[in-house]
Amino acid sequence: MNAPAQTYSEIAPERLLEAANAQRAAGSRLVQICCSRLQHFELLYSFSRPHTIEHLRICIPDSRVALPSISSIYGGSFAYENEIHDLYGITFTGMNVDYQGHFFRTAIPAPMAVPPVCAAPAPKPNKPQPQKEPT
Amino acid sequence: MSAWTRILAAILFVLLSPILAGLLAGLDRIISARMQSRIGPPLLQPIYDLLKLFQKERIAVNRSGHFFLLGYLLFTILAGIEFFIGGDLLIVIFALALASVFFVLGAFAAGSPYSHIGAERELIQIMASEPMLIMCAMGFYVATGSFQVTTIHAQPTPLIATLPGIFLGMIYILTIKLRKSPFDLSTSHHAHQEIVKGITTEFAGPYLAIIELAHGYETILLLGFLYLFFAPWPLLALAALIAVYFLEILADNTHARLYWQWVLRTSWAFTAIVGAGNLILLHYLQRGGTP
Amino acid sequence: MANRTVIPFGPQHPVLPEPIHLDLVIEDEHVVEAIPSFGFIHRGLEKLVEKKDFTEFTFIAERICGICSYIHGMGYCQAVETVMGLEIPERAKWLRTMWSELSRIHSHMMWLGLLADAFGFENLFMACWRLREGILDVIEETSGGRVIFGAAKVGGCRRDVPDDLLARIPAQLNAVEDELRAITNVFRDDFSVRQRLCGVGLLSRNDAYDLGAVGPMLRASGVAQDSRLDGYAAYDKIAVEPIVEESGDCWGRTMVRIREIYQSFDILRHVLPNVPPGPVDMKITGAPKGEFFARLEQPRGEVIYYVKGNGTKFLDRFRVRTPTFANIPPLLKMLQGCQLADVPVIVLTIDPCISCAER
Repeated sequence: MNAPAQTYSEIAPERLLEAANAQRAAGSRLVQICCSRLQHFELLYSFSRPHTIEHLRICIPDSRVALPSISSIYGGSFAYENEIHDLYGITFTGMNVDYQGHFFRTAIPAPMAVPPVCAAPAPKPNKPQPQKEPT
Repeated sequence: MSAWTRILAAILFVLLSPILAGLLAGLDRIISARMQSRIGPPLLQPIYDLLKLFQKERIAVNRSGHFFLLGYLLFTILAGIEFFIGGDLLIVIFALALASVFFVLGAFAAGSPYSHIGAERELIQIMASEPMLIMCAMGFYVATGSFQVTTIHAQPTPLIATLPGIFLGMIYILTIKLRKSPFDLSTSHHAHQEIVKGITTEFAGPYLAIIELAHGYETILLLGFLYLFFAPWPLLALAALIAVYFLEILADNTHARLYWQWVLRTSWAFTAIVGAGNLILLHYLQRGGTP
Repeated sequence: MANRTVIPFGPQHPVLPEPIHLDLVIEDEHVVEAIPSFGFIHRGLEKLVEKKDFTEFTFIAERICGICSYIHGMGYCQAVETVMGLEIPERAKWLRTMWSELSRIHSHMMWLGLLADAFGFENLFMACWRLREGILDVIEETSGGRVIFGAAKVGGCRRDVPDDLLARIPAQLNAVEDELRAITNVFRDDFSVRQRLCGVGLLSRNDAYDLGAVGPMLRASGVAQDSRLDGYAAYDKIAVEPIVEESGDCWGRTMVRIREIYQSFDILRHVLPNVPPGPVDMKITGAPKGEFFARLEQPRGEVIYYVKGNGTKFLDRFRVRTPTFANIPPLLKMLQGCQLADVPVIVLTIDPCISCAER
């Protein structure tokens, strides 16, 4: 398989815009933004150039932490950001198109923000559960 | 024509047209289906549909809408009666235009955005087809010296010989009137359109049946117009009508739906070229013939 | 007529049987803005992964979508296999390639029909769907199912295809292809079809790239991007040339898809005689631990599967980024300023599979 190399790097939330700008300057395409609800919230921003995929990992302790939107750099990111806002309750500041929580119509607010019910021993069981409130 | 034959003609038109139009629509659906490699519905399906629609519950979106629909049906029937008793062609055309306007008003009264846009498009279609209808009446007048259907019908030579352009123009607008592709803008026979069923979106059950019925009368009336071109030779006329209707089905099955701008532009251009061209030429020839 | 009206488009709209709702703000039949909303059939499949055994989840992954079902299942398996470090048998790779190309053909043929329906050409619609049956028959013969055929499993394929059947398929495909030529010629040459497609829904190369368009959308705007070049399954042994058009309009996207159908026929003609002998699946031991992004090319474009395992039978996270979702921002861009009559055509040229995007 001559699959492209995939690299993961963790960055602080404050450095997101800077990193996205660097990707943009390098000619990368925004592939996706994925949010995972583990014991914390983990966001993966994937950027691709023809032979590489780079994933930027951002960990935030709970959904009340607002993240900067990268839609000023990648115009199409608003779809992912609105989706994550509607399903996980994470706020993005400065989205170019903000549907105010009406992008995904959900019966309950932020339905995917519930921590995993997985039978696996949780890595950090003592961590206090953040209150999930739609922002 | 005596008074009794006139009454008989009127009664026959009112009673037979829906059946005839139903059979025609059934045939249309079967031929279309065969063109699309399908079997298609039974021949009488449109008639079954109509009867079933009349049995359905009456759900009123807006009462005035239904009054307008009755106006549509009534004036279409009046136009047809006037035509088939051999009356004045101009009255026929104006009654028909009035009927269309009632239909549009009915759709506007419903208040749904789909039927609003459908109604706007129907107005554009009326604008596209009406000049040709008037041109047709003028053509008959220039050729026969009368607007009376009886006089036009009694011509010894078929009018197709002197009015071929007008005939072509009439075929063109028949496609608009029959709501066939590429002109099925305001509503189409199936609902796969951006404005759903367009002008008829908000009508259901018996009210939709009224629209279907009026459309049936209108179809027969328009075919009557085409019949006049071949009046002295009824068999040829019948063959021509079948050929024209087949052409309409063929066009429906070989075209995409186009834009209203395109429809307006081409139908006016076509009317101007073949319709007006035919009239001018005819006038010139008659002047030349009788100096 | 010049005042603004809002036309609701979907989720129950006859021309778009997909659960998306678009509020079209229109002014004189010109669309000023389109506001989407989703979630009508959100099934929470991504969340369900926490409760299902990772091998069983393949069936759920296949049910993400009703059209491109196979590639969903296969992509999920591929991601899990990579996390677990499994190298699946060669025959399974080739069979997977065969089924994903068959899926592409039937999906594109269905799409051509839907497009014809959107611009009111019923005859063409019927013709496309009738021919598509020929492809579905091949899928049924090889896998037992027609659309959601459950042939993928973690570690290979759920069933083998006999060699004599593989030898028979090319003839069936050729028959379909011959008939298809007549239909695609209509899309390419017919006057009224060109009126409805050429110059409609223009998306410039820069916009397509910036807004994250994928698949035929991106390729029709002149960007040669095709995930099959990454060489998953047996694609590393097959030359796949991305099909690119420069026009960036609906017609370009139609042409890309039509040429992709023929390309898929060519790929299948190469794949079928070359399927190597051997087993089609392998035993799986252990559970996935680690994370991986699998990237595949669906009929609708690039699709991403993210799998994060924690060493148990239950995955921590499974995420799909479907091509339709990535194509929503470009779609909204194209809808601005278009005519109302063009809305169905433009919406259809992204090949919307909203159920996919909802998961």
